Amino acid sequence: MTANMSRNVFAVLLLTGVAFVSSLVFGTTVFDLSEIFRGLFIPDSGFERAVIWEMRFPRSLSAALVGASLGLAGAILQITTRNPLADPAILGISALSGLVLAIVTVMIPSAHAYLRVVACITGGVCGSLLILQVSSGMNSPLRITMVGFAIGAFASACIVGLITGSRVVLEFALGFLAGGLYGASWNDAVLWVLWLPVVVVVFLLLLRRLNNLSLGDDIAQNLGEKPARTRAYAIIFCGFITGIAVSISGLVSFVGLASPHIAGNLVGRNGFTFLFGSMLSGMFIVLGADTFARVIISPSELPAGILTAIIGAPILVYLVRKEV
Amino acid sequence: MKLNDTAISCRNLQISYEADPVIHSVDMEVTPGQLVAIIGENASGKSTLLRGLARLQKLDDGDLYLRGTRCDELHDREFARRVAYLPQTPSVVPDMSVRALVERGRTPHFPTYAVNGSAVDRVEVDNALEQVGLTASADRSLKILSGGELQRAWVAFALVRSPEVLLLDEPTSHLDVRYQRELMQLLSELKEKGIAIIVAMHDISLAIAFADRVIGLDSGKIAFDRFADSENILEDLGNVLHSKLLSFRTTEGSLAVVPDWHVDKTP
Repeated sequence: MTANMSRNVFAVLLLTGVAFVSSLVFGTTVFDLSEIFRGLFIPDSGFERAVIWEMRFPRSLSAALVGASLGLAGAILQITTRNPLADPAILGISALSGLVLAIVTVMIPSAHAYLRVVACITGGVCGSLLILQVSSGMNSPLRITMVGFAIGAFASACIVGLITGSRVVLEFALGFLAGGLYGASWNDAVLWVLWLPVVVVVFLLLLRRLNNLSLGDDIAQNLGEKPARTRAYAIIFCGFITGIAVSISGLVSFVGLASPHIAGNLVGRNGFTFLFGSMLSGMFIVLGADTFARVIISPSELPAGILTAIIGAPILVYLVRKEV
Repeated sequence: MKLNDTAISCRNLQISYEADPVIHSVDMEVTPGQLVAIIGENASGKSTLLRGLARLQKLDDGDLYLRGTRCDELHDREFARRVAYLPQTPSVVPDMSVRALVERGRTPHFPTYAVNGSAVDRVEVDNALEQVGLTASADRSLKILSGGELQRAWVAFALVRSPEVLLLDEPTSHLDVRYQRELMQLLSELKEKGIAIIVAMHDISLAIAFADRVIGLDSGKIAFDRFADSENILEDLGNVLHSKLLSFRTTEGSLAVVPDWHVDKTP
């Protein structure tokens, strides 16, 4: 890693921190830092406590979790399918996760929030398994992409069909299809507790294998790895984290696609730094998008899902043109 | 020759590609410190044979041995420590530094789940970089290397694991004459250290000049297997390549072989 890139890792970390703090500062009411501090750490601080601790802080944590999941899944999928345009949305994983959620929501309108989380994770993981199964021969990255794309389109159509067919869930449908963090609460933020240990374990088990896979299947195998197995595990893992993201925010597009490229340009495409950078870039985009979504037409709000591209696209285009 | 004396050997190797037999009953033995060139036309099975020797291709039949041990008995990672394989240089250049690439080449020696190596591994990386003459470029990106430097980086990637056998598929294609010579000289130095090297190549002049032995492959069968300075090699090569060849002795006395292009340019 060059000195330039170490500096960039630090810069990305800092920017993500700034985006997180900004997401606490801005909203219908603008707080200053001392008010935020009181809201976070002093239980009986009244209004600040109610808004920051009960609403903004869990929502920011949720936004960060969505961004981290999508950014990480995008980076891993781009490595494993050797396709720079892969992401959980394009490979159909988000849509399959969403389809299971839609089915559960239509069948059990009063489903508990955690049942929805289980539905999304099940959808993501089973969706990944389905894609791997149908594209049989996990040795063909291109086939996985094509099959995922087709299954995803099919699932999206089913979601829209289900939602429009059963009118009971209109509110759910709007937030879900456009993607956003409206109503994200501690119920969502607490998913970090599930996410973090899984990600740490998977990093320990898969990081070296993913590194070697990025050199090509033959070379990875000659280094003593099993490329097809690594690819299958990695894609199933992406199903899991994508499921968590979908359960919080619905279908947020663009983050999984853009984050790896932003990270690749800033911190290189090697090993842990790349995956971590992509995670941070995803967090930055979703936190930024959610903050804007709350501020632009305050006191009402836009779905953050439509703003991710507005935040991410200019950064991506700038970096790709500049080729750091 | 006893099987234990060979670095790598195969008996009755048979490989198919999508149900088409590509390699038919190949027997070969390569001793430590030998540089063997495999020559054959396109689709004669050179790459498939190398992939078979690297255990990247399912064998229909036959056995593969490393120093007399059947390879079936070797775990993937042990096999990886002992046999290094380089495909034809991939068109996509990984976005990383030379050192990062060479470090990856050392992974078969890492503990099972380790991502990074120990101090010993880092010393080996430095040695490999020095051996291919890339110490000064260690922290440069692969993307800005010349073709010759890139190929040497890949060789360092392969030799950093201290393999017994090095399998190279067309390492000199896309290289200018100077880089071809440098690369073959590097391979000659490596063989002096006792590594058995098998190279699939198109360039007969390079093969004759640098290899100890030349194996001719024709439609998946071994057509000939001779020392590079033997008298009949010209005829054998000509038969395998279906071309007329010319040979001559250089002023230093070594054998040189070139195709007889035979173009009539008189109007």
